[in-house]
Amino acid sequence: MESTIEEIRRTVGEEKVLCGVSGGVDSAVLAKLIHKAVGSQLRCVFVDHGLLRKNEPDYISGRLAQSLGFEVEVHDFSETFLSKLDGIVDPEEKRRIIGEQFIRSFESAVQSGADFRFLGQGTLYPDIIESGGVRGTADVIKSHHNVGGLPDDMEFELLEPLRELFKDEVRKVGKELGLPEDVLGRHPFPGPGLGVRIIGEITKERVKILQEADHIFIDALRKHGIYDKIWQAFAVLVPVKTVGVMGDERTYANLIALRAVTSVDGMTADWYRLPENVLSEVSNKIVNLVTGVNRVVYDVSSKPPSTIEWE
Amino acid sequence: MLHKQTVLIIDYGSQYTQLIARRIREQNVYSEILPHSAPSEEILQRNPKAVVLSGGPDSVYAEGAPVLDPLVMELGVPILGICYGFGLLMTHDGGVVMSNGQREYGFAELAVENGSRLLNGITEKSQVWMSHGDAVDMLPENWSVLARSGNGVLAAAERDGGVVLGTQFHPEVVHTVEGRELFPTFSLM
Repeated sequence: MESTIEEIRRTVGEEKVLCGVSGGVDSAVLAKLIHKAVGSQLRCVFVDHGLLRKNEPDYISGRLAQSLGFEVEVHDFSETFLSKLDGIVDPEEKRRIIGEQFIRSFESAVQSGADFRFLGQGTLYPDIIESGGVRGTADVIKSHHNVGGLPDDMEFELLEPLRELFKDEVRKVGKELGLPEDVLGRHPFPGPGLGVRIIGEITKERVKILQEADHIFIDALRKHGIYDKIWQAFAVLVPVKTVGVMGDERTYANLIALRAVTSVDGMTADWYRLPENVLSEVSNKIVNLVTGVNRVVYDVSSKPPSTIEWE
Repeated sequence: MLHKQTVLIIDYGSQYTQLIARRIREQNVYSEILPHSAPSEEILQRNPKAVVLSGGPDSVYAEGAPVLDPLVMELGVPILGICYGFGLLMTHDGGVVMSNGQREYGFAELAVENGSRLLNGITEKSQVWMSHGDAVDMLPENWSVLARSGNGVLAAAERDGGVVLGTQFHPEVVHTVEGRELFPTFSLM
């Protein structure tokens, strides 16, 4: 780790570094690492793309900033993202738009990107592999937010000190840097956020439905003490309308899929055997509390053949 | 600088190539990854003490599919072929790989039929992780079966007492619970 910090210092010199903080483990460790290397030459910006978990901006400006020990600016770009994504259904297209808009938002958040020579990114090894490999031999499974979708005319040089690490190794680095368990123990969250957990078109209404359902699910996992046993858990909004009957009335509403997987490095994964009572409690709460949902299913696929995320 | 103890990994485009490197690194053994397109001289320069052939997205018989540099088989060092790499060993030695065979993705049970020092200590019905469309249909004469999956797919085989080993499952991934244990033996061979 000392040699990495030394290398960041050498690469950056007297230049300024801008770092995108997402709320996830990777970018928190990245920011802490860069801050340790170059201190106040680092400026941390959080772009709210409107595709976040419920209460996420509060976590960023509260608990996360407090744990990092330095300020994280929160900039709300949710309207811009949603309008750019209007009518887009193809997952690769969504990822590309979000990735590109992300950089644009950064530039706009810092007024003049020219002052910042470097952009810190928390790219990890599996991201590169899923985007087609270091040497371009591996098949592209998904272009990753951190890797694909970067516009060609980008004004920053990328600083990616975690790019040869796997997730469990990143957590170890974070621990050495003194970040607390609750920050490091958070489940991975993809850069494009709920954008790739809403199948098909992204609308404000769908984001709201998914946020509520996801919140109920994650809350229950924490309440039952199983959050930390799971690598990643989340809800997916599947806009396949199915017929239901609620209070003698026929409904024709959305499907929510729950996914919880175990993994060590994100490369392979198996579905988590959720206790029946938790499944039943979560399903019941979601259909009762979230308007627009009348059916809940649990995803029982491993990776491979499926990926962890749905898009 | 020449590392006399280098394990060379030849990458055929596997999702898990870095995991292979990581598993070898965990044995405190130095490893290097070369793309399958690397010229023979580069392989010779590494003077590897063992070679791992990775998996890959292609089918060994497909047009334009990456091929095995025959030089690798002449080095006289231990070779481990994983998934596609196993298929390459088969085509080199005269075995048959089937493209329309049984597909397996994710969990499979490993049933060890014959002991081998590389599969030492694997319990009955150990969990392994698969990701293949092709499978070995016929072993060459000088090879012997070590294990099959619960679906009857040939899961591991060796020749020359384990100096050349092929696995259909992925020993490098975490979800292959006990199969990973072949790395300590292989890396130190």
